[in-house]
Amino acid sequence: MDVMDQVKKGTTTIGLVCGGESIVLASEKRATMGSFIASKTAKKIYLVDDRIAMTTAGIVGDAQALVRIMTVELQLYKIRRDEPMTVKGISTLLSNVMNGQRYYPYIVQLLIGGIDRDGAHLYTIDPLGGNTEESEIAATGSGSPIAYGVLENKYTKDISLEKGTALAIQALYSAIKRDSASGEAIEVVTITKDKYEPLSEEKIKELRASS
Amino acid sequence: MMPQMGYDRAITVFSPDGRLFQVEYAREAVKRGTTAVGIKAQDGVALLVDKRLTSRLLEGGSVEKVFRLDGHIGAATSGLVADARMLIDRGRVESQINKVVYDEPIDVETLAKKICDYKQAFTQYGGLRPFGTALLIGGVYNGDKYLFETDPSGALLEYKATAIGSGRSIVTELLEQQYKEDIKLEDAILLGLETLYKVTEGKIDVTTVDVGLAESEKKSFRILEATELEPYIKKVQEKGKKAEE
Repeated sequence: MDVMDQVKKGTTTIGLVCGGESIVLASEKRATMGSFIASKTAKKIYLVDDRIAMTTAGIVGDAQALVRIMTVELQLYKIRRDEPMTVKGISTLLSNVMNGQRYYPYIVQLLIGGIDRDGAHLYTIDPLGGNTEESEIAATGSGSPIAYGVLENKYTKDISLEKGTALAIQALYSAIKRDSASGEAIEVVTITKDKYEPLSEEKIKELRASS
Repeated sequence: MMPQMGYDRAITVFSPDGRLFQVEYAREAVKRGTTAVGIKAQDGVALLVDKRLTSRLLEGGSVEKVFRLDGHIGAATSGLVADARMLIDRGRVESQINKVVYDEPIDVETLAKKICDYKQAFTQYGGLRPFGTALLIGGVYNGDKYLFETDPSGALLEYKATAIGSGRSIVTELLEQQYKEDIKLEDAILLGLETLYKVTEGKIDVTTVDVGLAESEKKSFRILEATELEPYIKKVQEKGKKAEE
């Protein structure tokens, strides 16, 4: 499918489920327009609710529009029902929105990761709304094959949050080395029941050095 | 107030003396509604309602008259409860639309105006009846506190302290005597509860009252839990009993 090929260009994003109870999401910061590097500080990980985040790959405008819609839908749900939406809920909502635009699709590949009342969950969603729950690892974008190579090698289901984060960082840097559409600094976020934490540059450096 | 012949049928019609009778009748519905009080304090805004639970068989917690509209704005309702729910949801949706369009939390006055404009449309178009509900909208935004009152016509008034519903005149009299602009939020809650105590002739307790607070420091609006409300109710009850002795 033409659309499916288009999202393979540009970006590497990664999601991991660590020990069944925490989530790591990571991405690099390069945004490209053909061979031109349009941004070195592009934001690709968005917090859409207290403990749920989304990574975006593909067309920036499409991705940002979806982030805006999802953020307010989550808020509306929470304020009306007095409880937060589950990760499954938001993935399904997104799937419906994206499949509704089937003939004029959102050209994005998304990862949704977060903690809800049922635990830690990770979903991938393709441009036509196909969503899959990943119980272990997921990667999107042009650098994803390389990232998968590193992740498949070292990932185990009972990996700790610290080691999982270090592995995600390692996989990202490998992808950056061999994918021209991925590069610059990286952004890493960890989500546990207690907090959503975007990692500082120093922490990322520290974890990279440790692996 | 006698209805003029034929001029209260469709609300889009003025009477000869320039009145919209349906709107005035809607105001009557509000006058019969449960009392809601709003008080602006130094450090926030307090919204209080008398839930008027008529039977011990009622699940008191399901009677909602104070609502969160967004993280930093809330509303108390009086009048037709079903109409109130529609307006509250409209307010919630408008708050989120502001986030989609501007990526910013909506300011209190803008939200109040949007709700009022919505109410006004039902007095002019479509052959629909007006909302039989008045709202007290309280919120904090950019370091400032706001309290607005909306009525069935869609009119908007900003207040330092006010009340809507059946106890309006009793509460307003008390507020006129006792309200001071530099009141602290804690004391505003007590003052509000005292007015409800008077309206209900002493019959208030943790289950029959709801209190919502917009707090300047926390930049948020929340509804108090029963455990937080308890000490305030106790104080007011004691004061009330002493006054009787």
